Amino acid sequence: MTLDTFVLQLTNGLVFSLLLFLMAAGLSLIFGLMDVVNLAHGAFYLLGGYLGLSIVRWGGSFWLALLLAPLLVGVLGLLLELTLLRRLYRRGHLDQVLATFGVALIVADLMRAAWGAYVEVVAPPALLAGQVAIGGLAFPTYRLAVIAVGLSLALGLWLFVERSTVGMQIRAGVSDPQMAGMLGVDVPRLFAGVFAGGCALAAFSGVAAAPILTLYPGLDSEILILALVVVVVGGLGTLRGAFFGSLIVGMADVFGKALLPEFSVFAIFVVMAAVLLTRPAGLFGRATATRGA
Amino acid sequence: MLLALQGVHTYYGNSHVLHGVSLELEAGRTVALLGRNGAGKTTTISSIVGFVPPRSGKVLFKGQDVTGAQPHALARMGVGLVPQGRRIFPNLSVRENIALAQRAAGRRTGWSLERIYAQFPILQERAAIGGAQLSGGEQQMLAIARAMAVGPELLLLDEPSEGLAPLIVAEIGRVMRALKQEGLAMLLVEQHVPLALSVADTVYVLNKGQIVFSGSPQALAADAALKQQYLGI
Repeated sequence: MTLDTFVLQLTNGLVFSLLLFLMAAGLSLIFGLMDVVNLAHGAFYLLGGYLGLSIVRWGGSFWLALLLAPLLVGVLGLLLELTLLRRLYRRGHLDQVLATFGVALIVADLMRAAWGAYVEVVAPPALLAGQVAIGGLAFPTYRLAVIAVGLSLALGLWLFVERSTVGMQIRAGVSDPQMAGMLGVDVPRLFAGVFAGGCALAAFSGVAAAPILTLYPGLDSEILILALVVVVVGGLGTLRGAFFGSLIVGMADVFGKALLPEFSVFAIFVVMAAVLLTRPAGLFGRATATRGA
Repeated sequence: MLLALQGVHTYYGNSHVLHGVSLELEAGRTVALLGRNGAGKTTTISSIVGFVPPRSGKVLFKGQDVTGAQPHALARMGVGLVPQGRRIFPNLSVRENIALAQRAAGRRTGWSLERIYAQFPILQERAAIGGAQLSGGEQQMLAIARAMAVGPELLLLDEPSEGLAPLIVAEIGRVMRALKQEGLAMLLVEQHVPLALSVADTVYVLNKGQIVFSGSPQALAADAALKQQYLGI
């Protein structure tokens, strides 16, 4: 691998990592806050991409798709939380996994019915269609834009969770939802909001990734598995964990495919196993409320 | 009546823990709930705040039926909780632990940050520190300060002296008496009987999920057989 290919792969790895982060951030916060493994998260990612595709086809711009698709999927996520998930919090993980897996299967079939089983390509917006030459290397403009937007969103999310009042409530809810409730936090409303927000982020990632990864049936579960690995590697319920977990998994995936294509899937799980051996709770393992001194 | 439990039966799964517990607490008064380990004291608290909703019976707060209500609804009505094991948020700073309670409950508390720091000076020194880094005594002070920041009319305290050094237990006793002076109603669950008797107006003794004594602290102190049988002292 020459230095040039290395730099290009590094860029690709960063792009993929940040797209993965937008998926995993929601998944991790939902997991940490509500103790729910949302197996429909990948379906929301792909649904976002397909809705974006349709919005572009119906004459809307890519920018409109980037705004509208996450909004629609966010509303759908909110309805799902209010009608289905809310009833399952007091039940065990098995019921939740079955329910969200069921939703994932239904949404996947509905998408297949609506958009077919072909690989669909979404063109990046004209403004970002070209390439940028930096130090003799040509970088696709769109990928650089994804990096910029992904990093800004990551920073924005971090500021929201660490500095805002709602972010403080989310952190408290992640560590002890009952006690957060006893301090006046409307935990059910917080759950619904975070769930909807997480779904919207997944859909945003789906639209933003469409020009790079394309759209096809099955992409939902591929992305979901990677995002779950990110959550395991990074640790539950923390944005920092989702961010660094995404970087590790994204880079392992891209470099694994470039260096050892036959073992690319293997590379990710080697990384996961290595992290779990040294830090069983993930890199930034979940903090739980203190019980006693 | 500020708080009343009427024939509360509470279960953990199939295990029947509370067998028809009834008790009453008037505004501005302090009730101590005593009993051995496993008598159902913490379950009584959990039943009041909805962590473990009672299967039958009623919990009334200010005359309203709040049986199995959401915790945040109770907090907003004026119930504060200092839970067993303190349950400080380790990923929030001391200041954030307090600010969360001040803002979320949306009650006019009168407990500004300045006033809380005046009552608990140690918390001001440790304001920026994460909840996980506090000592047990500091955590207990924070748990009380945080509950007061909600602006409660009724404060539930579950084993506030648990695992603390005698000096700090004395400090907690001082804080409770100060809060009582201000007219705050408290329901105090304690293993530390002298501490409980020093603040309580009324004492209930719980045994195997049933109330076996209610009366004044003096009446309990005078009843050696009762103390021996149900409290082991």
